[in-house]
Amino acid sequence: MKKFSILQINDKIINKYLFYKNLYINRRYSSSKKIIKKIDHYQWWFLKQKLRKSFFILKQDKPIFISTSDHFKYKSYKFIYSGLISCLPETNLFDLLKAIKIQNEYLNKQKKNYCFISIDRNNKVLMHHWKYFGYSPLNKKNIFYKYVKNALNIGNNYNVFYKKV
Amino acid sequence: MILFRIDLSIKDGLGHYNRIKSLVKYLDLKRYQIIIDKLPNTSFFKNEKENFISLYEKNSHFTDEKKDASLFLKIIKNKYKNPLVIKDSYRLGYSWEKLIYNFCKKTISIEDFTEKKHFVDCYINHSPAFLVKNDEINKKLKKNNKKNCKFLLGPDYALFNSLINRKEKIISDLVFYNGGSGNLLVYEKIIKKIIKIKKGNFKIIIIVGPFAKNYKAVCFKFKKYKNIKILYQPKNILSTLIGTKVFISSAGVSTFESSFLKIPTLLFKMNDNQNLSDFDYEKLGHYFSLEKKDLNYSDKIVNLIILMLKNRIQIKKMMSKSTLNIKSIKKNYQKFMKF
Repeated sequence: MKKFSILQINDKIINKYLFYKNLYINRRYSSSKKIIKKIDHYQWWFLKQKLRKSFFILKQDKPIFISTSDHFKYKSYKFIYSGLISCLPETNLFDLLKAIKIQNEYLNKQKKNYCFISIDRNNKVLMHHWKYFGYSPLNKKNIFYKYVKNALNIGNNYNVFYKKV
Repeated sequence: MILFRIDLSIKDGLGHYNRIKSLVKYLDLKRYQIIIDKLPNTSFFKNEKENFISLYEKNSHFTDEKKDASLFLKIIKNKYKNPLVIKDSYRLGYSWEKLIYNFCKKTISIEDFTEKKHFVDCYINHSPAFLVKNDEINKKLKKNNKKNCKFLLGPDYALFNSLINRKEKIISDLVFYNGGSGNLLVYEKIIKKIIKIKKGNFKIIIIVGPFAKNYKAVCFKFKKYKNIKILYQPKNILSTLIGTKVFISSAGVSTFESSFLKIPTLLFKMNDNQNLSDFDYEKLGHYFSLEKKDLNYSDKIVNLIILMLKNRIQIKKMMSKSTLNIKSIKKNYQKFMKF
């Protein structure tokens, strides 16, 4: 049995974080397909990374994913927008599902939050699996729809899912 | 006698000279000569003049390794028989070393590149890349060097100035530097934009190296700004670095100096020899390195510098990895290079 664990990320991985973000596997289903420049990444790190809670998901002590969770507020509601960044140029379904499970364990510990994920419609693997992790589609009628779409700058080729924890 | 053969000119900058000077200090050398192409036309070296020997006449200059070696051998044969030769030059390699080898007690080469072939008794490369064992590179080095060559590799043998005169400490918010011969006006837009944003007691120091051709132009461009101080060819940049909040510099020897002092630094890779990967700079505690072409994005650089200023405590914590220890470097050299 392969051993999975987590490790909090710190500022010292600033350059590695960019390296992972720029892997094709991550850009492929990202809203911006372009390579992120270092100068932009450094600024983002000081401005946004501080607000984000991230940890490595390790398999046999080697990073396979970074779990990211942006915490923010809307009116009196607490929101978490989470994502996964692959640390490897290629991944497999087993590791991906395991990583989602580990991320969900983190999310489930956050009380009274609404958790959101966005999935590229072309990402067939994830589009088939969101239901197994307790998410529901965020429909246009939902009171959060407009805010979430705008605040997170989510394009039309993405479907948004949410759950309450 | 110890003879140094180094590159020292407007084109070559100050890096090779600074490295051998730190070796002189580590080993407490009293008698040595530094052989250079031509005597530099700057007051920066006035205390060093008696140690300099110029290899080329007024109207001649370096053409190839063979000619250089023959002129160098003339000095050896006429004045300093059987010397220890320490060479720090990008132009002189295997052929030069082989030509002089039989006339020297020992030969040592200080190098930045691993691909170059050598014929010396000792090879020094202080790149942080050597902090991680890399069998492939070690194999390549052995293949490219003489049998029984001694290898002094990594920051345990770092060659940089470490003498700080705390009484001469200069307080500032930012220090800009572009090596011994670099053009400081590459930072002009950035400095002017920062001054517009940061008013009041904000202080910027611009260090102009002894080989910088445009010192007067730099002075002229910034003369109306009272909170900008221009330091021209300071003997030692450490007293300036230790008093600043963020250091903006080319990724040369000063990389080691700011790492040693743990000063938050934004590096720009200005030349081909500043060729380390991000992860190698990180080994010295430097997490912010950009390319020369990034200077074109002056607004973004200004934002980044201001963010670095705000987050300098966070950056200092990141630099805790940097562990340059002068005492141990000194010991390492004294152990391996008993003269």
